[in-house]
Amino acid sequence: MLRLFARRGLELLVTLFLVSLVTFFFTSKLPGSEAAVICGASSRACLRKEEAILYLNHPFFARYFHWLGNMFTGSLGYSAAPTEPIATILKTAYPVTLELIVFSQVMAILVAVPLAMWSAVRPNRLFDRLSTAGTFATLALPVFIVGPLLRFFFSVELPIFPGTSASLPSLWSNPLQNLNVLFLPSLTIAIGSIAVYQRLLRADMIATLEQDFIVMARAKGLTTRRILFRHALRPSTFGVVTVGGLQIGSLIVGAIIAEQVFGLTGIGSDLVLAVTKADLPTVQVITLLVAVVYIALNLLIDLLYTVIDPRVRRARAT
Amino acid sequence: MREPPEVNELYGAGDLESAAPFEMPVATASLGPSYLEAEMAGQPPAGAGPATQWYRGLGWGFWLAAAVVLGWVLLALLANVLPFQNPDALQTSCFLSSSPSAAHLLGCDSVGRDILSRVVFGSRVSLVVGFSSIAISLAVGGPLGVLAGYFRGAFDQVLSVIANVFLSFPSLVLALVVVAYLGNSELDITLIIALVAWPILFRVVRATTIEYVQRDYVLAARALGATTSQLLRRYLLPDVFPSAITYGLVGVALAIVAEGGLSFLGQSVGPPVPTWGNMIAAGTETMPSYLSLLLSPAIAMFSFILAINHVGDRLRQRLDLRSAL
Repeated sequence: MLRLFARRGLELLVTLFLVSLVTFFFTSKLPGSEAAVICGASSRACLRKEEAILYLNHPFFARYFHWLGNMFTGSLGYSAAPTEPIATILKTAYPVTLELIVFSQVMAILVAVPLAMWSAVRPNRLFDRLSTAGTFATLALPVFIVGPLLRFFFSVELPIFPGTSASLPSLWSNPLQNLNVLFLPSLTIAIGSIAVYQRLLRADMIATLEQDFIVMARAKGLTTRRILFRHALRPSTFGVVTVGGLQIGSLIVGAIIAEQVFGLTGIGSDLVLAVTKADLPTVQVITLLVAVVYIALNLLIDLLYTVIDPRVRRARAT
Repeated sequence: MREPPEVNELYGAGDLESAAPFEMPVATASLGPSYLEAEMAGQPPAGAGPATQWYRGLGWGFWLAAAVVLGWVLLALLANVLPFQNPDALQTSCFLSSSPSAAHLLGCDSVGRDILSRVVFGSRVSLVVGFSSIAISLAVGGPLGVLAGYFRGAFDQVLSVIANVFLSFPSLVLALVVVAYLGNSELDITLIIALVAWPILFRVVRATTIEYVQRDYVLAARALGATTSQLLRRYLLPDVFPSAITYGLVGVALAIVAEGGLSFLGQSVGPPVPTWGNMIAAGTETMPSYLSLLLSPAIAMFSFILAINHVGDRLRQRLDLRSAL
């Protein structure tokens, strides 16, 4: 057990280290010197000062470790043109992206679980065929198609929701307005997740429903609803939980696109903006942050297995 | 005992990644001595049926989807030869009415370019980038995956960590950053998507190899004194290769989506070259008045991705069914 943890921990550290190295490597040579972007066309003195701050006249690894040290101590640095603390940018952006992703997953689960259950109870019947074909088709719809279409149908043709919103009212002070703005962007991301969850949960559930303990539960005369929710759901969720972890990457991709389509200011739109402006320090911080969050969440999900599946707990203990 | 179609329904429909971290208990019933003898003699085993019949019974949906894929490939290849209008020409006849007409079947965009021909020419970037980036990923990830799955040990660990590092970035984030680093020519975009995609194919091929290495016939061959290179070439490659190709087909769809995402954000091959992604972005900006500009490339992309997903999925089910028998 201890050796397993030690090995996992070591692997994690190596991965994190390499992730930061890859991030730094690909962002340290963006077109246009960082100092030039910050200083604009101003004096040489400014350039020289910025170069000293950013360690630009040092070799690659010196710059990398200087940067990594800064990241560790939480001094995220300043964005180029207009100069602003990156921490401030993140502070306004991350709640939007977080809420967007959480909201979209709530929607996806609320739709996917009943769809999958009903499909699994009667596999290959009309409902199952329709919902499975439907989710297969939505797998072929990238977010940058879903987003514009939803915006067209539900904010241009039928003006129910706002198309683009300059500002997002806070969830706590104005929840209705907040959800109204976030509904379409969240749905944009949710549609892909619904397809993935429905297909996995359906397949796992069909397998679970053939197991002896379900036959037993049926023989005891339990209602279908009780069997489905109390007995079959939990053992059928492993696939969804695993892929849920891997999905986080595509959720972030979804958020980048959805924020762009609906004009929200979140982590994704900040990243795109920073890339187009060659705002190197911001690109570095956001990329690293996203990757670290992704790794951390997957680790969390790995631990979550032991909670939902006692068998894993026992297998790992030995 | 479950019926075969049921098995294939179950394990074929999963996600690309689902098999890797949490291996599903796919039925791998023992194949019996006759299978082994046939295999050792270099003949196809009786149970699996002649290899020439892989295409039978795939259903009309498969052939329709294959025709759509082939149709797009031909359109992209022959766009120059076929009588399409110049996709970059700003046509005065189009300035005043953007709606579809006999001369412009799908209408024109906001500067008067024919949308139909732009959709056709736009398929080129998607298809070239999609197929060639996956070909590169397969060429890199495939052999590495077989070797890692066969030898395991330190070699496997190092490669797996490297693959995990690249998988730790959401695809579009890594692609965006590397575009800023490398550039946005068609070649750059192809290489960038290959960089994003190879770890996925590596992991799939590695997992498949590990599964096959454990089979009895590999053990038997090893017991009979087959060398490592014989084992790899005669026993593992023929098994792993088809499944790698089917995953590659799904990979092409993912690569096209990735290119589309970059294009949509204005980071792929630059204007005036039409791509499905940048047309969708332009259609979104000019929304109600140039609806065809949004819908046409969206439908084109949807049809292609749906078709190639279906082809890949059916072939994968077919392979799963065969290996489960």
